[in-house]
Amino acid sequence: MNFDLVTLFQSDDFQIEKVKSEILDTNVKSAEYGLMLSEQEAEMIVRADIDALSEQERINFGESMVPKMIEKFMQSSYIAPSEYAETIAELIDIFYEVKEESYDILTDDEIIDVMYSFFEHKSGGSLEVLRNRDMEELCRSIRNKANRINYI
Amino acid sequence: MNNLSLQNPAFENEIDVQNYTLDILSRCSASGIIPDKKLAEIRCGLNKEFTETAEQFTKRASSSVSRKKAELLYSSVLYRSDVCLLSLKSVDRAVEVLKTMPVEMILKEGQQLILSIHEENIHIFKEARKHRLNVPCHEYNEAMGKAFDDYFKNYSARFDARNCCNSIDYPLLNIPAYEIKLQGVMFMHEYYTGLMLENKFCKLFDEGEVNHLLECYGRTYGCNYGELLFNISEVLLNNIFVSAVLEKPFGFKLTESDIDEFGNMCGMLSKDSVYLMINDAFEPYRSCINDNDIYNYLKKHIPAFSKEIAVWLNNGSELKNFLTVCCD
Repeated sequence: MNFDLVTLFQSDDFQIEKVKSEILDTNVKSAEYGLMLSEQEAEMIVRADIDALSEQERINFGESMVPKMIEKFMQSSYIAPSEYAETIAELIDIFYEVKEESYDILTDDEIIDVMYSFFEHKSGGSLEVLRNRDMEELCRSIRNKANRINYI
Repeated sequence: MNNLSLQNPAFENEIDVQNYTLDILSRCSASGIIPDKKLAEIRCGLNKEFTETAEQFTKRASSSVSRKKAELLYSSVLYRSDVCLLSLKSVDRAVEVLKTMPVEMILKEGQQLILSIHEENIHIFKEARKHRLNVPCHEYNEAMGKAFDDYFKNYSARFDARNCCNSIDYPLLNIPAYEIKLQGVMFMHEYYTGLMLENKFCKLFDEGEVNHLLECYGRTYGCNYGELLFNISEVLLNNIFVSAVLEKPFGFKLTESDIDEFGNMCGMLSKDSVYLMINDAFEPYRSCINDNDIYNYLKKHIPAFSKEIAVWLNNGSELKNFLTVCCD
């Protein structure tokens, strides 16, 4: 039996089903905005979350932030029903990138709120602009401040 | 067979103290000593404790941490278990506890022990400082000052338990600091207990005379002794062992002819016989030292000293380059 950390927190079928179920629960509210996720799409999003965590070398220990992300972005005026699942998957990717690039200084809620605010009012609904310009600028500013404090 | 040590008596010394719990669990898992059901319970308990620690670390505002940070947090959880199991001083008892005690209780017990060891460390350091030597040795003064301050200010048993937050170069008698396998509060306990005993030992003598001895020691290297990295009490003790063999009064002053006489006595003996000779000769000094902890701590140096004497004599080297000629 393995006791190393990665094995301890490897997503098993039970956890995947749990998060998938939480994602599908968001359909109750997202239906008001004309947005729905199928079971397959929910599974794709769960896998995207796992892949993004792995890519950024992070471990998820608490409740998944994915349902929170979905509940925030379902209100967006820029997300079309046909792109809903893919957009969420990419937002998850951006989220973990920001977590790393901002030295974990920002909380989950802060990142989701900022991402939504930029997406709606600055990035013009473009994920590319959100990732490569607006969030990148924010992370750089946070890193600079953090490094200046360390230097002092 | 339920005992790891019965399966292999060497286990007691083979278990990695820096990974004590995991090493024991892995051996017990491989040998079937702890059933899979119990191992699964332990794993679940560690998972829960890690999750709670990570929640505390992120102030319950994040659902993930970097893998590097997660490893430190998990290691800190395991450290609590390590401290608890190491305190039992027996692998078999540790296995028994893992088999019968809920892991939550082991971790809680470990946490309490860490706190009490930390309190003890403060007391030990104060004792060591009370008997601090007034010497211009940078590494010694760092150990007696900044190193402990850094530990006291920055140590986090909760989130980075194995890291003492300092860098100690001053060696103890018989062992450089970096060879001490223990980590965290246990390392500090072991190191500063040694330093405290060494300080108390050196303070048995007149400070001026100790400084004079150390100056003579520095001269054998052609420099000011403050520039050298060495264990101060070892210089005194090496000479004291010779005094003991020569049946001189308790002290470290030796002439060249004392050292020659000692060399002649040892020249005909095996390393083991040298050890026995010094061991017997040192016994009467127990009452002069008048502290069993100090006496027993110093006695542990006899094997290394005997070995060193044998090497020097076998090489035909002059013992006065190893011992310190120092007289009025």
